[in-house]
Amino acid sequence: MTEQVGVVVGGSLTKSLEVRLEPGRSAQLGQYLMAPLDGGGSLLGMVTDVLLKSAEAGAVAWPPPAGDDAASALLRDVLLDTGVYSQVEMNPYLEIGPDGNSRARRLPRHFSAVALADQEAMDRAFDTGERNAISLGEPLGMTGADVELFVDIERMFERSAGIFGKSGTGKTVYALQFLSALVKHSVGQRTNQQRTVALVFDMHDDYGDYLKFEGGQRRSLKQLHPNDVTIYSLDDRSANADERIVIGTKDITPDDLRVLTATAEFTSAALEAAEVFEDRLKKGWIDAVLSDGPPDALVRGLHLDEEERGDWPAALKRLDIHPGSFQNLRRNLRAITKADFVDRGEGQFSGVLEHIVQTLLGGKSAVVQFGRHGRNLASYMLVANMLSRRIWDAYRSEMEKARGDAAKEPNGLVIVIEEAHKFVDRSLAGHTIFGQIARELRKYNVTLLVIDQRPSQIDPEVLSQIGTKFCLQLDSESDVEALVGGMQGRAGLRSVIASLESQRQALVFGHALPMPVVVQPPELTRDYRPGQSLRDRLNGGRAAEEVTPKGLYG
Amino acid sequence: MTLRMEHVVAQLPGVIESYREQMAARNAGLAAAGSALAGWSEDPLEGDRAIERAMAGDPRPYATSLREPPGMVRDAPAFTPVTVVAADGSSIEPDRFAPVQCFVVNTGHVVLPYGTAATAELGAEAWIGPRSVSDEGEDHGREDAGPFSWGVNLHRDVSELDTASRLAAEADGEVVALIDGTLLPWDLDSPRVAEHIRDALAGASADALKRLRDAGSRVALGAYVSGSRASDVVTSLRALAGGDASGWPLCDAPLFARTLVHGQRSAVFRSKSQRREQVETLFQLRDVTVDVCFFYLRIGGDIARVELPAWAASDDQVDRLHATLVQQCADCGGYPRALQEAHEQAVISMGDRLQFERLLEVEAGRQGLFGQSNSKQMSKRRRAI
Amino acid sequence: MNVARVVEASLRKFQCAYDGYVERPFPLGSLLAVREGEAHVFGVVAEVESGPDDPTRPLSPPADAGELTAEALLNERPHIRPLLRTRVTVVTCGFSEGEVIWPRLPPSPPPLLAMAGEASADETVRLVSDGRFLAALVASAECDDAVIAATIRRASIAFEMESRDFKIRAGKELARLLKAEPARLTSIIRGVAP
Repeated sequence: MTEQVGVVVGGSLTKSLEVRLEPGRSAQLGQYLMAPLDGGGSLLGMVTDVLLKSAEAGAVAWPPPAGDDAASALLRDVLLDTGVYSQVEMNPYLEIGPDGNSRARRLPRHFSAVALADQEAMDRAFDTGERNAISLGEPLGMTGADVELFVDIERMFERSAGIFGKSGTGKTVYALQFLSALVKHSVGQRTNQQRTVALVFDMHDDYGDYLKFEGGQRRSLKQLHPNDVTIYSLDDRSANADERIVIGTKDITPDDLRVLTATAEFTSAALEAAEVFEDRLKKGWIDAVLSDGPPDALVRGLHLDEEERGDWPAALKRLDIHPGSFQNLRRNLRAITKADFVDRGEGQFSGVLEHIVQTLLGGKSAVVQFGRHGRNLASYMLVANMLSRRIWDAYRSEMEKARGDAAKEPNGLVIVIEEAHKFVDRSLAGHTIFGQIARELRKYNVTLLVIDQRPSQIDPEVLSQIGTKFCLQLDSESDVEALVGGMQGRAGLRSVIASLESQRQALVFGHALPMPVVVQPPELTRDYRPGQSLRDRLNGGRAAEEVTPKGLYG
Repeated sequence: MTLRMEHVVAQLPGVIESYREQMAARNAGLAAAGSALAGWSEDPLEGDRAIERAMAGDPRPYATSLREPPGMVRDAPAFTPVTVVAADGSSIEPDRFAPVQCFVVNTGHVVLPYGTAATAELGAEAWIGPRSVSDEGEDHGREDAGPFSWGVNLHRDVSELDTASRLAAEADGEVVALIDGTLLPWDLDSPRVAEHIRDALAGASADALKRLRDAGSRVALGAYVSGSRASDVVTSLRALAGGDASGWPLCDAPLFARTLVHGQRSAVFRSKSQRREQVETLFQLRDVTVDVCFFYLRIGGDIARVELPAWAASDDQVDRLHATLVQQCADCGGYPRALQEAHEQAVISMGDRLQFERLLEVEAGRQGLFGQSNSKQMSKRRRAI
Repeated sequence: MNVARVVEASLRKFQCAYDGYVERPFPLGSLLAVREGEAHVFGVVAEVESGPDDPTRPLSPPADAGELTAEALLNERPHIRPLLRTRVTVVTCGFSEGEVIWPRLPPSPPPLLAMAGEASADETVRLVSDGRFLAALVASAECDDAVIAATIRRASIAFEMESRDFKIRAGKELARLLKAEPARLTSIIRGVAP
């Protein structure tokens, strides 16, 4: 046991344990403390609040005078840890003992000695056995003590996960580390079941070759794992893409557009109109809508008079579509088709889609880069949604084909989306593929890794399906509340999140972890090795050293 | 009820008239005595001779002159560094109800250095008598033998003299030794005290006086009698003046109150009487001549009589005694400080007396002796309301 | 040399008297040791009184003393000094048995007429170091704030370089003992600070 920091003076199993700090001791929010339990074992918990208390009203009602005179200084020294003292609140989470771990169901006795959790306790609490695991970083307050926490990689991706934090807090770096570990992990696996690949919708071209980082750059997925990652790009100027994605107007369905209501472009009436047009015109509906007058196929179906044939208003009237909605539909479709990754008619979309599906099913990860289109949220959402829907469909059919034969099931897939709240907006959740993926859990071996700065905007039902949450600094109360709402000891977690530093500090909690933990994510150093974040017990600890050719990144 | 003024008003003039006459006679008497003293001073030796003639067959004490003219008045000399020693005693008388009859003498003493190197000391020593069964004097077969023949007062007086003499002899430098009362213990010739006790105590007194005498002029000795009622001088003056004695003072004090102011002393006289000669003889037999001399000293309203042996009446010793007494009385309400403190040391409180009584009973009881208890004894102890 | 001896003793306090009047008695708050009897008793000087030995004979200032100093006056009137006594009231706060010093009440009071002397620096450190001895002082009616402050201040000297650390330790113990009396704590600490 490490040195005692305090003693238990009260508390509650369902709320928090009160620990009075020993003189001269301090504890940080998020730090792990341990206290012995009667009958053996220890209780592990997290500091969720630090309080300045007074033993009696007198000391604070009549505080020692300010000033440097000897008497005032002495009085202050005397009152510290006597009349006034520091106390921490500790959320009890886990009982660890020789017989294994369990949720906290007991409390230590009054005056039990409380110490900072040590390596052994943390190892025991976060034990991942012989399974591969990803480094979360060093637990807070134990930095420098060479304690590193790991999360079971399969467990982490068997349900959806989320990395939340305002911009600049290190979400991307964290995600990159996870993904690098995931790629590395999957490469080492023999069977499909054990493999999980990623499909990254890379809005800002972070996950391809290089990641812009602190004024310089770092190798990203493709550079780290050149043989196991394929880059797709929407940007025709992209030089390093393995494949280019072009979408034909005929590839787009109204359902694909529905997601764009979130960007406040398509009105729902316009989308209803789109459905009407698609219903009547099938695949050519977009081109038809964008033409100057109603196409013949439509005219015929509507039995329009001769004089009305070249006239949209009459057709709309017959179709019961408000001209305003039609204008909205046309304006937006025009904007989409203006993008250079959209071609009129049949694009190579189905070809690329097939390529991606094969890549993924083949055990490689895919990064879809948006290049200059990344700045256009609508493009990003449209493409991510379109691809995901279709890939998910492909996975679903693969799963159905396997008919429960695990050996034939496809490998796991993690779809990585940024600005996730736009996709799973409260108003949209029922309509986008991502809401469905989140809700379906692992039924079809597809999960999400959402990266977002506004969790409060995400449909609560979807959010609740996110198993493991990585929470970096957040701006608003509502975002914090959205993440911890419903958690045991949420008040404490809220305050822990509120105290996170603006960079490289995260509260991690949820499905894959036995208890919440505040960590300092690993640094993304210049010589970050591929899959460095992976701990591969079977293959000798950390990922095998892969020497980066010198000169390339010097 | 109010005072019946008519009753007293009528008598008042007569009373005042009578008082005026008495005052006039007293003033006349004092004046006569004063002029007799003045006359004596003109030829002291002639006066002394006349007085000695008058003394014959008269038991009353007379005074004769000693070197100084009897009417002389002397201011207090300057006080010089001196160690003052003093002793005073107190006693517990035998109690006839006690299981064992005995007495206690407690002698307080002080040594007070005034500008000398001595160490100030206040203390007391007590002892229980009789010291031996023979003290009881019963073997003399007298009816009044027993506790009253033990001479507790004499023991006490002698103890004072003895203590003072020892302290004076031990002290370095110039000393003034003071005792309270007369110089010579009166009861030395008292027939009520068993003779062997008187004999023993006379010996002890003589030893004490010898000790003082042998200390030489270094030690001044004075026995201090405050508010003296002695009449040696007046008696002598009457003998000199003859005639009508009406209005004459009955004792010496009023006479010297007229002549002395605060701090002044009279001339030193030699005290003479038949009885004194008897006592003085006791000492002579024991190789120490004690011619008792005295002077009067005015301290505030008090005329004190200070007795001293003739061998301690040198000018130097008398001056030192005089100066010291004036100084001693200055901060002690007109009584010598050293005697006051010696008394404080000696005094036995009522509480101490009861405590001693109890101790005596307890110890006697332990040895199988019980006294006759009586209600008076009991009531002394029970402090019922 | 004029030694002080125990003249009245109870478990919680005892009185020492000098033979006569002493101008420089044990100072307020000094730690005394009575090293006689089975348990050596330690206590703190809570009161020093000088005055007439006989309470029925009060000392009154001489009217004719003029501008004389006390020393001159005592020399001029030598009877006064022997009539005066200096007494020291000591509040017991510890005792030792063999080598061990306990900061609590002794099993029995110190013997009457035993000599009292100032505790050594070593004894002081061993007795007061953890501040527990203060409980006896705080509980004693004889010890007001000034006594406790003087005690801590004097005892701190024995700690030399670590005197402030000791003051803080003692102060913290006091803060516990006087938790409901912040004003008292403040007044004592003010008295403790140099």
